[in-house]
Amino acid sequence: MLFNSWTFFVFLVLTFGVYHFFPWPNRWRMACQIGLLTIASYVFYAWHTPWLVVILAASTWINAYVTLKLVQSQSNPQSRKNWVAFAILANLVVLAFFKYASLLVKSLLPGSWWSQWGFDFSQIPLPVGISFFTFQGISLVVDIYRSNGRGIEGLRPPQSRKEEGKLVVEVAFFKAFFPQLVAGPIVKAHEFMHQIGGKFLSAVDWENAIKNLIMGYFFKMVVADNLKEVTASLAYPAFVGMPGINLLFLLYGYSFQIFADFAGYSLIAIGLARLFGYQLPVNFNFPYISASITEFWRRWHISLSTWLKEYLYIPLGGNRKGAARTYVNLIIVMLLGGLWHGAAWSYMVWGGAHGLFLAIERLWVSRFGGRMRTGWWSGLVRVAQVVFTFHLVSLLWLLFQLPKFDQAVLFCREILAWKSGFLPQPLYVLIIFGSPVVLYHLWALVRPRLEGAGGSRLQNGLLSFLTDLSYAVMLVLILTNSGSPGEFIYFQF
Amino acid sequence: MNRRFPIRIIILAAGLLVAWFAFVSLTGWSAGLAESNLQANLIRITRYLNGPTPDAVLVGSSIAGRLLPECFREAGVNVANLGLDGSRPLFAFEVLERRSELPRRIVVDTSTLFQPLTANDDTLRKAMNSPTVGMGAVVPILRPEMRPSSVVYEKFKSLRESAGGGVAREPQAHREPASPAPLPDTYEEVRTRLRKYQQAGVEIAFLELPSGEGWAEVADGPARQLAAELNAPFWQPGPEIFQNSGNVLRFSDGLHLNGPSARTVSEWIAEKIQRRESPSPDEQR
Repeated sequence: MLFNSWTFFVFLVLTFGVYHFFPWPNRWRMACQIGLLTIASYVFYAWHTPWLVVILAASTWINAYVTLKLVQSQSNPQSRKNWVAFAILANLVVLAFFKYASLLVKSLLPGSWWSQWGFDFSQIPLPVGISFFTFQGISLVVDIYRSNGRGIEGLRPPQSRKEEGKLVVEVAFFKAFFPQLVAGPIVKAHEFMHQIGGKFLSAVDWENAIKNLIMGYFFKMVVADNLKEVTASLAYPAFVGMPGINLLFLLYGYSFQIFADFAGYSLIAIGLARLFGYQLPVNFNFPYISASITEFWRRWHISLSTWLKEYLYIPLGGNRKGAARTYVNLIIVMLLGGLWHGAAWSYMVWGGAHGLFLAIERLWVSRFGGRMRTGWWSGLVRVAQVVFTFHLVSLLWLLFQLPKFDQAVLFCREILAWKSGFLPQPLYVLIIFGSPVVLYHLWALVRPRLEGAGGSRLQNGLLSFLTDLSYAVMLVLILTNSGSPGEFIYFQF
Repeated sequence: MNRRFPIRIIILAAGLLVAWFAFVSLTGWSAGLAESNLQANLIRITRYLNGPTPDAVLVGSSIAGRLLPECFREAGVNVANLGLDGSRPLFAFEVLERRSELPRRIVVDTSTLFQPLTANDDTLRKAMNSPTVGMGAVVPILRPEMRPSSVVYEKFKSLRESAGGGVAREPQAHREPASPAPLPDTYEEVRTRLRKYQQAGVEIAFLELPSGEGWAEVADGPARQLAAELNAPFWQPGPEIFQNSGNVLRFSDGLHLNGPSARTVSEWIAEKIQRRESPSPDEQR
């Protein structure tokens, strides 16, 4: 079910209505609300392909069962170690089968090897959101394991059969909660479990929920869906022979589109969760004002980068085992992070390139870091770094749209060849619908000054009115100026 | 937590919508063209679906999509243009049938008449079923022709073209058909539909428009064969209409008519529709 469909709107109104307005008895309020949201989430997930809920349910069952085992075997470290290893392996096997089997078989085995057995791996469907709920499952069992079986806040060892049942339901809810089920943000157990409880309409944070929803839908429906009409030509051979200015703006346009699409989805998810009384982590923090790739990954898809840091980079040794090992760890983490995005080697190359740049930056900072940050020109240097980082990130996005490396190289060569002239129609689209992303990032630079200025009552009132006006304008544009409805780019991951 | 925030936003947004509606109503600005093919198509489709039943519907590709509704209006005929960019006439027939009443006349642009449906048609179908387009059927300000970005785009485009944009082309006497031979299934489907419309009392006319390649189609093309079979007129504006109007045939991108050329051709078609011409040996050349 797409967030930008009539079906979803009806689904949301019904779920929200029953959740908040049904006269739940106080004693059963929490259980009923969680049960309702879990069932609603399964309906949401099953809407287009009902059998997929089997995978979600199986994944939930494995993680809930291991969670129970982990909290029940507090005194046996070896047993706990075995259980957590089993759960991680089981999660990864499910992910590997549905997402990577085709790629691995194609890459590692002779072409005819599997076909003679009558099994075509390329026919294995990719369940929507599997990468997201698998990572959530791993975070759950690892968090419980790290607590030495004492449980985490909101998830304590059950003392009776009834409490065991409650734990299973809560795990099912954590994994299936529909706002974040199919494309994140990737919620970690220790961020979410303690929020589970009975919720009241009076406690809903309306202002932030509505702000998140308006901005999320604006980014998705107005910015990304309109840019999509033009960035479709970022495909071989459509871009060959285009004027240089169009190619450059096409590159920027795709960067803006992928940001607006994914940040839009995350904002909608956060806003929806707020309507039900839950807080999801912020996923994007103005990524295109990053002055380095390191900073970029602190601002882009934050829930993934922190997941990779907490559950992969640190267990690999992080930066505790010397400089060389740190660089290797960074590259390994980003290679796998790249592969997480899709079952194609181009994603791995993309991740590997990011890892390499992270390592180079780390080396650079360790050698010259202090010297670069002083001097009167530091502001200018920062601007140059932001521009450089944006172009680097944008060039690497090419691998998402042009998975064949030679085509991405050809695109760069076409830009460098710089054919004169321009095609006005696509340029108009790229400028008009790309500008909200630019303004949004400029706002990040201006906002701290305005908020920190402590202006007069009139100034504050004016600022407040302008904020309201900007949200109203976005709402009007959602209604009047949306593009063609389409799936979110990150669904495929 | 500010619970009044949603109400403030709704009131402000309603005010902005009313202001925009007043602005476009007073200035008469509304978009006939758009910054993307999809939006241009949605404008044409929603104008057809939400407007009064037209006297005639022009069905075809982007070549016909350039023809100007205002020229038809000025000539006193109400013509809906379903010349859809990147789309196929087969899809336009689907749109045509979304209205309970069929028009009295259908003019079929032959440029892509026998080509099968594409992914573009599927995208367009989804867009037609989207919430915002659905709401536009009830609330006029939400219709694609009122899209702020499309209204502004049209203004830019007309400014550019009035400044003499476009590529001048000398008319060519004849050209070979550029499109591939029709698939038997597609040909049959087109024929079946047109026959059905004829049986429902609709008059059919075929139209071969100049495109960047030149003027004329070969004499025995499949569209002509079908026109003869259905006993329908085959219209083909020749170089003389430009000579008479003193205009020069120009294409905005080497393929599609630019504004002034589209006006000349539209006026010529409007005259044909007004006269309700039937097939004659002269037209079947």
